[in-house]
Amino acid sequence: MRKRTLSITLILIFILSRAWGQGMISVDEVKAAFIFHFIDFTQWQDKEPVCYVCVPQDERLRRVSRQSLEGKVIDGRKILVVDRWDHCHVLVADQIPSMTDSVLTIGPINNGSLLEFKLIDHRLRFAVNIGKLKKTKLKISSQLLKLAILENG
Amino acid sequence: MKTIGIPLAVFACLFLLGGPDALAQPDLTSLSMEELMNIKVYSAAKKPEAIWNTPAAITVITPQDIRRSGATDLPDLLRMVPGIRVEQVNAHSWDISIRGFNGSIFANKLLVLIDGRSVYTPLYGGVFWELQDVVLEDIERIEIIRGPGGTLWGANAVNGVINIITKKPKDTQGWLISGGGGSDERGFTTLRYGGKADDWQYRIYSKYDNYGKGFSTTGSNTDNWDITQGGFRAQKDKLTLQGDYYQSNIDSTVSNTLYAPPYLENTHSTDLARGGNFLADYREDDWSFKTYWDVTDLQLHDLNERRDQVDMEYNRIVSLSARQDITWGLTYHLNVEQESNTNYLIIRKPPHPDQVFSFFSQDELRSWDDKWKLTIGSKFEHNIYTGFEFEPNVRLLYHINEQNEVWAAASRAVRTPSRLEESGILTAATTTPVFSRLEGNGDLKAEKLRAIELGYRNRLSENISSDLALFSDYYDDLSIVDLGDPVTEHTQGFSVITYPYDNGAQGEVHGAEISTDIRIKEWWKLTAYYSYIKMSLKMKPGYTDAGLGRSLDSATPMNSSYMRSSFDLPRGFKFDITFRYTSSFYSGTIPSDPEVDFNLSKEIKGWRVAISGWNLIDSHHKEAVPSLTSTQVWRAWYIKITRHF
Repeated sequence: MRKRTLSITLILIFILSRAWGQGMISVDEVKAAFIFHFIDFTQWQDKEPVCYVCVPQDERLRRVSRQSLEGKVIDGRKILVVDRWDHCHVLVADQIPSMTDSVLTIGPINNGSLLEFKLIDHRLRFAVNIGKLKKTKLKISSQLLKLAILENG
Repeated sequence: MKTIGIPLAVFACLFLLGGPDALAQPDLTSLSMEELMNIKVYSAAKKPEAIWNTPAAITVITPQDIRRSGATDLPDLLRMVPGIRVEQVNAHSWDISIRGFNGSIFANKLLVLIDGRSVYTPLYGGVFWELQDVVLEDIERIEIIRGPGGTLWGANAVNGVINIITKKPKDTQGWLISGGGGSDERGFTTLRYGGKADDWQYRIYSKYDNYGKGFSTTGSNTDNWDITQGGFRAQKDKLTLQGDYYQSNIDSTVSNTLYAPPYLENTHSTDLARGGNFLADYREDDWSFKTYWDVTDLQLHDLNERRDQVDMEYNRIVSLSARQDITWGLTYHLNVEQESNTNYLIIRKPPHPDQVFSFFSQDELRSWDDKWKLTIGSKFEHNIYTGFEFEPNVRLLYHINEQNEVWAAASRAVRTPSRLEESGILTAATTTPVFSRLEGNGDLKAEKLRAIELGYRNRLSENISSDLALFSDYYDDLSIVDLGDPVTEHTQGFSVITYPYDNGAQGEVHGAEISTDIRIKEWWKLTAYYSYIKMSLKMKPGYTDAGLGRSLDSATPMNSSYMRSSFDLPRGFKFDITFRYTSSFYSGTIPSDPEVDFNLSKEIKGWRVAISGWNLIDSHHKEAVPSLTSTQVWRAWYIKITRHF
């Protein structure tokens, strides 16, 4: 009898725990959706059929991105989320390696990234590094720049 | 079977419930950027540090801790962790336990892993600490988890897990040469080289340590020993291969059992212990596979055993949603043992191939704001001695804010009988023709623990953090030698009194561990802990209380404390001074023990020179309950020179 009570309690805890998680959106889910749009508004020089999104550091974001982005196709390119630092179209990391002229880097602008997520009043915004933008080989749509906070890093 | 039916049903429900929810997640990529900017989001808690965000009592030893402690072996290193009891029995033996049950027979509830390879020996349910000679400079971190870890690590992770993780080859490139010597550890040297070949990064190493004998009042003891070890670790992308080989010569004091006068003969013997292992590990983002083969070959005066262990593990993590991950895994473990009997010890062959199959699953749920984290899971395993076992746990963590968090856990863990308890026949002699025999019991059940834990952590600023853990452990079916009901046989002019092993004891253990790290000044850091433990074990009804419960209780000191002051002095000198204290135990047989250690070091252009002193208060002291083989621990010092390039 005791064991049954325990099992029922566990199931209840579980259902309740699921209920409390409903309807709220974590910052990582929104970041992943932003990355989707960043890809949409960016043109790379290469013609690879795959767009590699590298998320080598933030494990949580990597998993969330995988869930919401993988398999989606933008402009004929299939999105793949990977755990590495090289051969990237998009790189989300705190530090940026050298030779990233043709990589859409997302991270601290201070460290040389092109884009940076900013949390302002519980809402997610992003900043663009204007100085870096001029040197990159990427073409970024002005629509994206209109929504961005402009910084010079 | 009946007992595991219900937990299985619970898990079936978890999986079913997990499914539809994943589909119900809104696809945010269909929203425009403007819409995304209007969504109110909740920032996840800061990037989890190793300790923060873990609903368990965990301590991490970092490379910096290792360097600054001045320790030259693992046991001395572990002295800095709250809730651990390290007892040096003689120059080459240590008993280490977490949350009670110390002493040579009872330090059997702790699991120790080196890069995921278990070094717990099923032979007696402990660890041959003298044979775990890891290059301390190559350790990335040591995670010590106090409390049950059965859900993830399986049977025998009853009251703690020690996870020793070595550095990746890319972090150990170049040469490391170190050497030194001193009063107790007479000489030691390490040579390591890390390089690259094609896409592989690797390191190879060899090391040698030579230890002098412990203190005894007669001075006639021989427990000096040495160990030579070598190995490698290589990595190519996601694949890691590693292996080690060691050989140790151990001088021992031996009491031989003779079935003719004088029956008991004390002599000295030089024992040989050697072994090796090979491990392969492949790791993707969401799954990993690991396999290893480990050989221990002991040629001891009273035991000859070669044990081969083969292990295969597959683990997978599945994200059902951004707030729910399910981890599951399958493990197969095979033990092959070859023993040759001695007068002292006979081990009966296992009835079937000694293998363990296990499955675990754990569900981790996070609330929308990451303030709550719930993990719920269980291990289910089958072994040939006690059949099916299950080890569930539920853990809940709540971030009060960026500075404070609390957690609670309820778990069940089991320890399966060691080979000695299950199948050993150990015959001890006295100087008369009367022998005492401990006989293994094939019907022994697993020991069970139900534990409740509560914890609180804070990091008031970058400079102050502290950690509190409270626990109540309820043990049942503890395996003991039943002293109450011996069988006496008289044959060929001598008597043999046989005491069987049985699941004869039960009881409670309560305790608290508090630790704190304070950076007082840029150049001065203080680390301190205090731990308290109260054991109350007793015989189960039907077993005679021959005082065993009480002696078990008293074998663990109730209070221990530790304080280390780390100073960064001018001219690049680093100075650490440690004060350790344990209260008296074993009814005063081991007096209260204050100890002081220090380490002074300086780094100049790739050279590092360190001078260390250990156990400075007395010239020698008793750490373990006295026995024929125990000796005392010396006051010790050594000097060590290290060169990196």
